[in-house]
Amino acid sequence: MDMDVRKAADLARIELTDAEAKRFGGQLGKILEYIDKLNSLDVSDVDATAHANAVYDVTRPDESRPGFGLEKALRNAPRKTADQFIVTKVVE
Amino acid sequence: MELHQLSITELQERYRSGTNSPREAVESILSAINAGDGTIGAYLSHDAEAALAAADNADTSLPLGGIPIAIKDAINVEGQTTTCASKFLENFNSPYDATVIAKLKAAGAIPLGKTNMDEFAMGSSTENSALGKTTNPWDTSRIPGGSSGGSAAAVAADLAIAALGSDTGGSIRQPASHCGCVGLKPTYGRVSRFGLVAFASSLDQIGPMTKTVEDAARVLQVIAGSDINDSTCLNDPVPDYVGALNQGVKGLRVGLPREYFIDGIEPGVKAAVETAVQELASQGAEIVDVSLPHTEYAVATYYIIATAEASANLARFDGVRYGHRSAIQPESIVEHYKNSRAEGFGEEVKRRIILGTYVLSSGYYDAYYLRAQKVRTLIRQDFTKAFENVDVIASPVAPAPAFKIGENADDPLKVYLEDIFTIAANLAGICGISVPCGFSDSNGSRLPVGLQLLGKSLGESKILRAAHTYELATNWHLINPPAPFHLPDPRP
Repeated sequence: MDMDVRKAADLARIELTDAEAKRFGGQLGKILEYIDKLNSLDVSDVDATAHANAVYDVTRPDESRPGFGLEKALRNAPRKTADQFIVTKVVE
Repeated sequence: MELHQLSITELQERYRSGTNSPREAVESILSAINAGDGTIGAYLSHDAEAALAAADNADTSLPLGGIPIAIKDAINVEGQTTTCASKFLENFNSPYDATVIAKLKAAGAIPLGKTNMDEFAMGSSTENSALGKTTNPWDTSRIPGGSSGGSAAAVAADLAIAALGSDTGGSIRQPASHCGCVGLKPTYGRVSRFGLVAFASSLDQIGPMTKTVEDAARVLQVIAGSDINDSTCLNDPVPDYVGALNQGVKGLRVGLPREYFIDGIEPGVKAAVETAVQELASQGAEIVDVSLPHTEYAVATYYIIATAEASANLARFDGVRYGHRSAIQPESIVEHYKNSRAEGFGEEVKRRIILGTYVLSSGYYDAYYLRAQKVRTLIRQDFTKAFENVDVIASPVAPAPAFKIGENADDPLKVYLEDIFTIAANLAGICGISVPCGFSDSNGSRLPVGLQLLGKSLGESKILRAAHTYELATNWHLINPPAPFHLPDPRP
């Protein structure tokens, strides 16, 4: 089973080395081959399960709650200035 | 007996009689960690000062008052690091408590330290940790299981009184089995995941890892229940788990799924589990054959659904507001993401994100992801049907005891197949417990084996009761790993 590892890695925003691309290609190919066993089942009349114990329309009172505040929000920022995150420049 | 060797129940008796204080218990654990954790590697971090301060203020009249508990490092404890054993989060300091931690603290417990795991809970051996190596206390050349391997090893080596783990495909039950402690995966939705770093959101559950079944019931009693911060949490009332423990198994129908007793199970594991089932029968349980015909599709289904959900969940790790940011000056935002993620994630995490992205990508979604969700329905229906006829399903936890560190390093598929008996419970959303049921001799090592008892959705009381009855009738849980981690045990 062939799989375009580079394309999937690009979509996932992960840079791969050539060695990784080659190794993952082989390993994931084997895994996809194994996964193919699902094709032996007829599921045409079966509904999909997204959650085993699904609950619907869960709401809570629409009331304001305290947020993090500056110190907690910025505590783990890889780059920051006084009270702001420093982000990579995005120009479209 | 040193205090760190005691169960929750035993330690509470010491507190209530005034024999010992929470400070003495925390000191005992800290000295055990100092003496033993260099070899075991159960903890990634622990805060001795904070634990001692909490012990001095502990209210021992509370349900878990003054009980130190080790926490898997995927669960946020305010002010402590939460790394998920990943370089990406190596320095992440939690700005808030997970709901389970808030509940434990409200019940008087002391979150003592953070335990090692497979990176982002992806693995079955804890070998995928980017931040440390954890060994099995029974044979330190072997894995402790995973992904909650640090929590299991800490409890088994008496470096903790109890621990929390998380279970997406067996990550509580399998390491509990490999290390010889009790591990409970609650029903999907029984325990809030708010503050648990998400791996696969339709499968993840937090649960206790303990020295006895009674302790597991005590911890579940505290952490179970609804949460306005987790909309997948069930609203059902939390029953009295501890109170139901002593009802015995007389008349309880225990199913043996024929698909779980297959060729390829290590003979020592098979013998231990079969003997355990006989013990349940001699305690009054009725043993019945059941069938779970779609068992052989569970691993394939899981590795589509879990990786798909992981690829979406781990998209949040972008190196902007927290986590690793590459020092390479990026030409574009995409390069910023790609370099930060390439540097921050380990092999298995990259492999699973790529697989998950692939099965969700245009042209493959129906063939892989949608089909897997349909097969998931068939697996759920297997259990629904089986539980029409039985109260509890008994099986091995894993086909073999703990393997040697490094033994399966180059064959991810082989490691995935080790999860065959635990994964289906997550797909079906039901509950399951692993309880020590003996030993298997493997190349000169005496390694623990776990009995898995599965219950239907919200059937925790029944599996706890069956496991407790079994535990009372046997003494496996009283046998400790070999020295240097233990003094000779005075109990029979």
